Amino acid sequence: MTNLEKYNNAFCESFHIGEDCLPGLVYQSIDAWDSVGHMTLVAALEDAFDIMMDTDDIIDLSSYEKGKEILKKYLVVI
Amino acid sequence: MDCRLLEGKNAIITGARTGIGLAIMQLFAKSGCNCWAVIHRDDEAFFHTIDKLEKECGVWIKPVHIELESSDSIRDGVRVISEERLPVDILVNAAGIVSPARLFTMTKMEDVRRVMEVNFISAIELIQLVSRQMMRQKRGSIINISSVSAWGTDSSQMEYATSKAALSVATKKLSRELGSAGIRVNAVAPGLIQTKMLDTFDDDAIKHIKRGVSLQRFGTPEEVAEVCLFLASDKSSYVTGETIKVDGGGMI
Repeated sequence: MTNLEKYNNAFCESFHIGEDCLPGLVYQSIDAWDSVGHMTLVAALEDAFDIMMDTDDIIDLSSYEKGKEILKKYLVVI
Repeated sequence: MDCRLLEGKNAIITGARTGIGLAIMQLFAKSGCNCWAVIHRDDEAFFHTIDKLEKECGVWIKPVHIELESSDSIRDGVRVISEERLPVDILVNAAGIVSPARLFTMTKMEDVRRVMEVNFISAIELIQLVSRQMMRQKRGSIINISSVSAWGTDSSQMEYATSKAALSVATKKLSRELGSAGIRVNAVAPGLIQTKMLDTFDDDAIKHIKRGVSLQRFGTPEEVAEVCLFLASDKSSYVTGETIKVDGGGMI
């Protein structure tokens, strides 16, 4: 599985949405991406890439696109 | 069996080396719970206690060194625990410090900061990190050791009482946020308990406080631990956001 597939899976499984919803997806734009959903997403990303995200990055993770940028800090290239 | 209420569960307990934290660790181990014992320093006696508990109770107990005044140290400690890839079922924030009993006007601000840092900030920082793991599991029980001093009206130890009041408020607020993820958050507020913290009170103060307790005696760390056991176990599965006083009827 590629990093992009892992990344997309984390979003799709956390929020029960299809890949077609991912581009442009931002925090709180759908019901499932509330604060609890956010932490589910973080857990899914941490599991998928075997990382432990800093709190600042968790707060900054405000969109599907922003997440890709943040993961670069953890040497994960999407 | 009721005597093994926490069989197979794993708990993180701060302040596990002495006092209430130690009593909680001992009771949890006897109840079948494995423990990460968060301590800032160790000694031979503590390792002896751990060895004995492990053998007697058939559980593992791992010391984790964390300086609770340091965010980096807290993060490193939690990282060590998460790398074990084991579920974290219970977090008990029992570590606490108290500064000498004196009036606010005679208290250094650095003492106020230190008490808030250890008693409150470190506890919520741990909750923030550990609740991420608990959210994955969709279950968890968090127990904060507050204090009845949070509602006390005497004039000394403002910073200690404030830190414990903050912990009780945080307990309520966090129970709301984390409840939907299956995580319960409760607090225990001990009254006057026979620990080293009593050394900070002079004899007159102790006599005065004792007179105000319905049961006319100090509590023991074990009596506080029993309430924590209840809150950690499934026996309290519908209890969250509560602060339970364990003070012998001192705050009625």
